[in-house]
Amino acid sequence: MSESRVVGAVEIGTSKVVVLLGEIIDDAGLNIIGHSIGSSQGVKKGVIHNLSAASDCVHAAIMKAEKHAQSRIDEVYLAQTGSHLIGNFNVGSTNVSSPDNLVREIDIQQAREDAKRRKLPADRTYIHHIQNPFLLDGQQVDSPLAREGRHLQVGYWSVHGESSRVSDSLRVIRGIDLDVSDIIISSIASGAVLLEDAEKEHGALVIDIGGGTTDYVLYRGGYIVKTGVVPVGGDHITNDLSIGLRVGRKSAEAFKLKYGRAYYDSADRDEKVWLIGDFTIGDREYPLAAITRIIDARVSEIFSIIKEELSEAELYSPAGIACGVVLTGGTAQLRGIDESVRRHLGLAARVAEGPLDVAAELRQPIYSTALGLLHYALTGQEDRQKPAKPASILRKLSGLLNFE
Amino acid sequence: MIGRGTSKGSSSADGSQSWRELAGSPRKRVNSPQARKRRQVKLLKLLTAVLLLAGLSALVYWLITVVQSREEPIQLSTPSRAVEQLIFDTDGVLPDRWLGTVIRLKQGTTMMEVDIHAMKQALENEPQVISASVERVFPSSLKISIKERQPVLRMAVQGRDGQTEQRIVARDGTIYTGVGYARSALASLPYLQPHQRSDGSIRPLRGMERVAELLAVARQQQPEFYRSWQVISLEHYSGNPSLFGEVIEVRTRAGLRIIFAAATDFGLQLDRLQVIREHVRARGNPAMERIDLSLRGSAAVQFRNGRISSF
Repeated sequence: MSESRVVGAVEIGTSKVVVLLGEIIDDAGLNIIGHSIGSSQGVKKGVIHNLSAASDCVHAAIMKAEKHAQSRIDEVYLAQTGSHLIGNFNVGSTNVSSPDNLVREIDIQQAREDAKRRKLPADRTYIHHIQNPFLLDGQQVDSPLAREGRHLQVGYWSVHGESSRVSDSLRVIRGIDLDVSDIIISSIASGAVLLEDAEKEHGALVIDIGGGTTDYVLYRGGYIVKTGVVPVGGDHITNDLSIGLRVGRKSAEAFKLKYGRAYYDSADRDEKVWLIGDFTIGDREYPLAAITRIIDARVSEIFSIIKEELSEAELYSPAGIACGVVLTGGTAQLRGIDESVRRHLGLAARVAEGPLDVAAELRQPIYSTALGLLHYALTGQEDRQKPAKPASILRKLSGLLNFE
Repeated sequence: MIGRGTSKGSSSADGSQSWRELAGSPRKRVNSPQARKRRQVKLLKLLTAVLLLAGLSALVYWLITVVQSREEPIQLSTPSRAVEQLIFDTDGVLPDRWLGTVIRLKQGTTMMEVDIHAMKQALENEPQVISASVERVFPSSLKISIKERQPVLRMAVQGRDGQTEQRIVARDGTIYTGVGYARSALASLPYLQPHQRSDGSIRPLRGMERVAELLAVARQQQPEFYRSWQVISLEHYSGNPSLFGEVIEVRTRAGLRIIFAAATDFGLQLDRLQVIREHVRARGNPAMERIDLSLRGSAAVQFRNGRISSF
């Protein structure tokens, strides 16, 4: 008899909450059975500031998705973002212990433990320890087990965040009596479903431009070598337009969506655009150049920060990012965003299209992170897969009574 | 794409200072109207499931109780009247009470519930019965007709407890206990001394029709003399009269032994016996020990005084 569990993928963003419900059958198959998008409140730049308001929004979105799926969530996979997330690269090493210099499991474990040994301040907590390739006597190897060598090294990209911020996210989910099975940072979740294995191998940069933050992840040789969060997103562009053009946020958002372009072009100087477009009282003209200049400034700021961070880590090289940039998130739908990447990062870019094996409406960039969470729910972050939880008799019985 | 592709190395944060340590911290739950509603629905579902389970259990218990307390078997056949009368017809001596022990008909059994084929089989399994017929006579009678075996001889056999028991021998050689016969009727039957086979066994009794014929002719022609016949010995009669030397020996109460040829007409032999008896009586009626009627064309008489005469 097949066992199934219903997994909820929850992304608490600055401007929206995305929930996807997936039914995982025998840890081998995934059916997406429900989804919902709700507006987000109490969240700024990806961080929860008002627990009560955020809980209301998240709980409403979860219940809407459950109602859509006619099923209840068993466990939650939660996306995490925010500028409090910081990554460090730590290297662990050990001398091969066996007299014949053949690497054993105990040596591998020792190198791994050594890489993870770094203590964090009391107010911080680890989210990920992302393993990088092993080096055996300086030579990169995928699996050092039973190979001959003297000195074994392994690197880990460790991502940690403020304990209170992470705890707030967990409390929101626990408020609706659900357990969080895993937390995955947004960029890693998006990258998992948007990139092919070959792209990860040859080098690719995934940039997820959300409302309040921009998350990125860099793959090289098939490994995640850097992640980062830039505390600037699509909402900042809207704010800038609102202030720069002296219009309300609603109008600024309308300008961004209707006329916005990610880069400034000299041809924009002579072009005017109308605020409303029906010549009613209050409707007036704005120069397109003003709009595109404001957007260009913010977008270039985002890409410049990313470029700077990659350069600091000595990871910025067009040859090392051979497959270019993959853009996702709500702001990735901004016109000319790929051209802007080419101008500011000097890399080829494309706007991500969601996986082809999901419904067309779920292929929008807004669902990338949640789809990535379901990917991890199915495959697990570890090499082994989680066994399916056997459903209790009472749960099976109450499952028959979907009278919501 | 989802669930496919490979991720090199693990990425989950376990161990000390992992976010999983925060997941277990008992901090106050953040409530929301939606969460409260979800909890209520969950509780309601659970309650409904428990009530459903309890209801199902009660229903099963009730059904078991009802089935167990039902004393009368469920009526499966079409309604019919109970058997009220048994019409018993026999050409022999079997009594009504014997019939009751064989057919074992329960009170209240309806006409259609009676298995007449099984009843006929049970009756015909009785050794005293040659054939039986069972008929339903609607509305409420059962007619049973029996054809019985007729007794020809009787046998004394040793029972399991060592006691001598009496058995009846029918014309077809069947040996049976005999139910319903008058004591006087059985007392008039001569005893049978069966033919003993080479292996010591006496059954099956064969050729009894010929013996029965002898007895019938004797009873008819010389009824007085026949009453003195005590034992019919088949010591020298294997059951096949056509074989050479097959004789039937009769022993009378006076100790006279009479030898009949099994293959020869019993009427002629009995006529000759009559002549011999009258002749001997006319000669002073000396005591005879053996009369042999099986000799071809003559008869030999052995007297007690040792003299032998030929007739």
